[in-house]
Amino acid sequence: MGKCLISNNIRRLRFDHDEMTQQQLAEKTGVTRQTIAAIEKEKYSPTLELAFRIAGVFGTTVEEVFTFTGDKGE
Amino acid sequence: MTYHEKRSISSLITGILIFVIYFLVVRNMHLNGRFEGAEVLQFWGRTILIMIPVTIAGRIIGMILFEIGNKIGGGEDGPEFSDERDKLIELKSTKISMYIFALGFVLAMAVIALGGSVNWMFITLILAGFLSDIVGELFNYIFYRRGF
Repeated sequence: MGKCLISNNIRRLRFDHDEMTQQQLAEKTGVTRQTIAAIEKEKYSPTLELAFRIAGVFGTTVEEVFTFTGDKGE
Repeated sequence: MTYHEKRSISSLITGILIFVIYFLVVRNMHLNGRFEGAEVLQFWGRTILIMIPVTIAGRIIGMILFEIGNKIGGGEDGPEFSDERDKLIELKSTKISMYIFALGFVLAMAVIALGGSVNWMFITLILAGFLSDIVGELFNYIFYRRGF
């Protein structure tokens, strides 16, 4: 399995939204806290559906939350 | 260590314990009796049929003990549902587990094809089942450890 090729700003966005906890974000997006933690640590790339849900919670676009880093250095 | 990682290790230990205990019981039964012809097939038929409920009961007891130990040890509560990552991890580890068992099945058929005894065929099949279970749990642990 390759390295996760998607970086994200979830930690910063949570901080900007009244220091929202991982548990609160998990409840709002319908996943477990462990999955949010794995996404934040860039160990797991979420599905497109979950990516849109996370962006929706922060009231922003998917591009603002996630960045594809796969082309770096290629 | 997260709840899922601890649960995978617990399942791994439970699986090994159940197999070792059951293997010793079956070994004693085999040493005490002399089986020939159709009796061999009956013996293995009984062994496998009994192994299924024993394994299920052992797993349930193992899970109950793990939940109690986790609560007493102050570990985090397990999630109430499985999300997309849980399902993907389960699918991947089940797939690996199935490959191992399929390989074991082919090996068991090879044993018979090469003139081996029926006993060795069943031993190979049971070992394949045990190994597939253990490897599946091991990969479950690795996937949760790595994130996916």
